[in-house]
Amino acid sequence: MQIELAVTVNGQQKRLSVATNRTVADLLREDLNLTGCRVACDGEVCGSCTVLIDGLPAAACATFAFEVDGSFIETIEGLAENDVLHAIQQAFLETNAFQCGFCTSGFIMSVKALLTVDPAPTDDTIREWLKSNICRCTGYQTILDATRLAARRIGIPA
Amino acid sequence: MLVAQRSRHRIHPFHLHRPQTAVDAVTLHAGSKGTAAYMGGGIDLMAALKTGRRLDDVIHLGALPNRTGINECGDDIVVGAGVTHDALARSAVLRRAYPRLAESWAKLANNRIRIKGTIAGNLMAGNASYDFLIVAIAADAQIEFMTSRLSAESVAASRRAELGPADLITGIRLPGSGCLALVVQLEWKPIVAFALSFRRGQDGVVARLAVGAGFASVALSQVGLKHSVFDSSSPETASDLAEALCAPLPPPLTDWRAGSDYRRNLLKVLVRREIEQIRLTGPNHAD
Repeated sequence: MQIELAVTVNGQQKRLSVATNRTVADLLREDLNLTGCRVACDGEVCGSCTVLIDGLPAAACATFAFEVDGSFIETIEGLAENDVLHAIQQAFLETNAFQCGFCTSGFIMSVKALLTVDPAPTDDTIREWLKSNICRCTGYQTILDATRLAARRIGIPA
Repeated sequence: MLVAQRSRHRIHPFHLHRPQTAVDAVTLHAGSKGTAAYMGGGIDLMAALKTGRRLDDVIHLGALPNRTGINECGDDIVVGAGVTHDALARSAVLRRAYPRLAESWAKLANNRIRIKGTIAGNLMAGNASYDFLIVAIAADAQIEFMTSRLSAESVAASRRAELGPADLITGIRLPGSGCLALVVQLEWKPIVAFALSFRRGQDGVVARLAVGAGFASVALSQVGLKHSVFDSSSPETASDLAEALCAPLPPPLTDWRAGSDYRRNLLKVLVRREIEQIRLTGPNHAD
């Protein structure tokens, strides 16, 4: 069964026809070629496929495409503007908060959602929020450092 | 479940239905020519479909009205079936009546699960390790639902197993008064998890202990108190009460994480600590 859906991805409006059993991860990666959405566990555990749906973190591998009809999706590809990295990406780069990089886009999208709801998070808040993402090579200290640095640079909105 | 046995590529095609009312949803479920399932947050449904489970009809409940509110209704608090864990944790109404519940719920699972998962889905999953059922049982809540014959009914949370897959939960009615304290202990999952309440009944205060994770199924134990739990001079010690609450429970599980005896002893210790803490902090409510 196919359904029609309208969705805004990284600011661009899309009209798509998708199968009901298609996930957002496949919609992004295969239909829209946005491969920054990584799929690892395919079980809503590891956080590698995290994208923002209407500003909130979601596991693209465990969300059906039909669920995002009418929604705004942000992926890692939508963060940089005019070849200038987003402050969170820059912070990850400067603090060496990744090695293999497979989980990094998921972490960065999670951090973006966190800094939207809490622009000055405590270390405990960061740890609690980022328990939804798993990294198996870098270790979490530099990711914590990157989040702190990004929070300082982005600042608290007036 | 091995990762190789679970994949989004194993999700079979299905017919999607997006009803606008609860009656339409139940009618669609009853009229399915094959297998049908409701979908709220869809976390468990998605996990099941990824194992290759076949469904002919998925009935998405996202468009149903009045499912996402948490409202005071007379003396009670009615939690809509589609309320997410995140909304539950943030609810000012719930925080006033059950402050420790809201506090514990803010740390449940992770942010993605809290944002997507719904209370009714948590109840209907039928998994002893899912935590809202123990809360509902400890709080002596009622589950309101629509049957396949389209009649609105309710059942005590402790009888949740009587609900069938065609029954559609519409809300959970938590008593808004009479609860002196309710605590939820989830920090020791998956070894043990429990909810403990002290409720004012007709014959005095009743302590209710509901256990989930670490047991084969959710179980309840309750004890009537001779003295106020908040009276520090009471001859009934926290240890006595913890023993009395834990004794009638079925044996906990033995698995690779912990043995049955370890779980039982840990449960007694944690329940005793919570009782001591409740005695120190006093009742949640003015009543």
